[in-house]
Amino acid sequence: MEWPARLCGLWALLLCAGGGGVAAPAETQPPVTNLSVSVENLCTVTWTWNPPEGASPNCSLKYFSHFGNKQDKKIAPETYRSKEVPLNERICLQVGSQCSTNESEKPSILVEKCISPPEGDPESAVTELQCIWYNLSYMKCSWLPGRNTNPDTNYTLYYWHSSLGKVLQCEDIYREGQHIGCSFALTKVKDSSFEQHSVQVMVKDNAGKIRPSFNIVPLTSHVKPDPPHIKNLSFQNGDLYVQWKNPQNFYSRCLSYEVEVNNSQAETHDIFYVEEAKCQNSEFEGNLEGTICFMVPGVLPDTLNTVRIRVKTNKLCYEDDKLWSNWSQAMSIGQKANPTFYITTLLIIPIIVAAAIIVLLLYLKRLKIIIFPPIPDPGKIFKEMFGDQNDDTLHWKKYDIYEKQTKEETDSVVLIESLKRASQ
Amino acid sequence: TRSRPGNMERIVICLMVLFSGTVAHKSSFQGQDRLLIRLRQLIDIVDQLKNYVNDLDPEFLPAPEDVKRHCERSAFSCFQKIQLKSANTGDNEKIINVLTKQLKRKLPPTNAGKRQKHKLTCPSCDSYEKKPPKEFLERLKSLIQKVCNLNYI
Repeated sequence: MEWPARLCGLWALLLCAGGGGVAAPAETQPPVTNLSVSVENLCTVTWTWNPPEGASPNCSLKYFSHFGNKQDKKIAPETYRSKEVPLNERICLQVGSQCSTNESEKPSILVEKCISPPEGDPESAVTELQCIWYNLSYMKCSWLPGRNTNPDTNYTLYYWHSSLGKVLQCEDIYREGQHIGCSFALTKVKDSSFEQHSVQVMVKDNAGKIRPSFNIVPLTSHVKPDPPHIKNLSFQNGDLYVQWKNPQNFYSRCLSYEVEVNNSQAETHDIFYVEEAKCQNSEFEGNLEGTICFMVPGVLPDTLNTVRIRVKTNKLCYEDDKLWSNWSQAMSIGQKANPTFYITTLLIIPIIVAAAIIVLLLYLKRLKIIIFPPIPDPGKIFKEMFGDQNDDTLHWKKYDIYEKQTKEETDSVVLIESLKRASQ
Repeated sequence: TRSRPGNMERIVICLMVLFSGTVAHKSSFQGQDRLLIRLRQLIDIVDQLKNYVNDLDPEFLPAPEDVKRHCERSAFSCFQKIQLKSANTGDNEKIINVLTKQLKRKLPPTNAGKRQKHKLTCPSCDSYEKKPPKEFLERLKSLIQKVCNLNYI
């Protein structure tokens, strides 16, 4: 009966010793205080806090913070943390203090502070808010109205990026079917650290009845270049050389290309995807400044070929490469397949035939009668048949029998009877 | 006999000038081309490493961001100094080691690159913020994309 109690005591002692042994080195700091959150511009959320009270004196305080689901962990000595986040959902930050920048060190108890989206029915917020940056010159954002909203709602788009001093309002609103959109100027400042930054966009209505919708557009994606211009097409050694000029504002190394060649006779439709293209002086006559070249193999020079090109940003300079530009204006080379020849022959033949007929008609009356028979006149026929007696009886006289018998002829007749009497 | 060596010298000097001119012209083009090819490869390597992010040691590493003008090469070398380690042994360890080795290859030099060395004093690698491997790789990719967008590549 004694030894279970002794075992328990021993066990408790071991635990205490063990616990004490572990607790002593891993002394966590007290939690941070006064954790608060505020919003700047449109979507820049900043959490600030005060150092913990009663921290160890020889501890250089560092702060460990992460967002929900342990995302985006950071250890830094600053007592604030800022993040650009679209306020369409609730977002929370947890902060703890520790003494070093080691990730393995256990921080203090984490304090959490959340920020909720602005007030309003979530269903009323606009949907499908997306923005495209056209040719690094202007940005166009479009959206669909939220559910249960008045069709007459007037929307306003606000935008901000780090080069602007304050939030600006977009003036150029338009409607395209179901979608509503707005367009504003946006240019890349040369050689600034624009690349890492984004544009913050907010859409809300003037009456303030719907919940605002946010979007953060990184300036390294969603870029749609303008179409390129084809400058020259030429044939050399059985290959087609295409020379074109890229849209302004882009380096050639930052673009990928698609060259489309249509052959009307062979009815082929080839598309070439080109990653890198350069013009080497020796191969291209009259190399124009700032042009890109590509050689299309296996093209028949005697037929009509139509070439079009489009470009997109590539992963070397931009985050995404999904948006193609529109197709450039088409340019053609090669002989035009004989439509004029056929047309002229088709026209000439009837002309010749018509001329021949006219000539023949003039000079061959028989042919004329065959082609243009005399039109029968019924009046004349009847006249001939029952005609006027006074006029035409003379020519009937030859058929008169009585006339015929006027001629007399005498022949001697010898009676045979008298001869017979004589002999008796 | 006097004029002949004089002429010969002139011819030799002319030839050397011409030769060095053609070689120099070629090499500047080639240098830029090789750099771009290498940068394309690096972006592919970073994308591949991103797939193995969960197998990497979660230690925080210095990850330069918003790099000062003309300090891009120095920032890139900070990325290269880091040894990205695999957290657990397994099939992926070999792949990760191969990829990190390729990351460390020296960048081909260009004229602009040579100028960068002598110009400003750039921040030391330790002064940059430390981030977990996922953000480290994202910032490396951003730096490469930024460099490609510059006109003084």
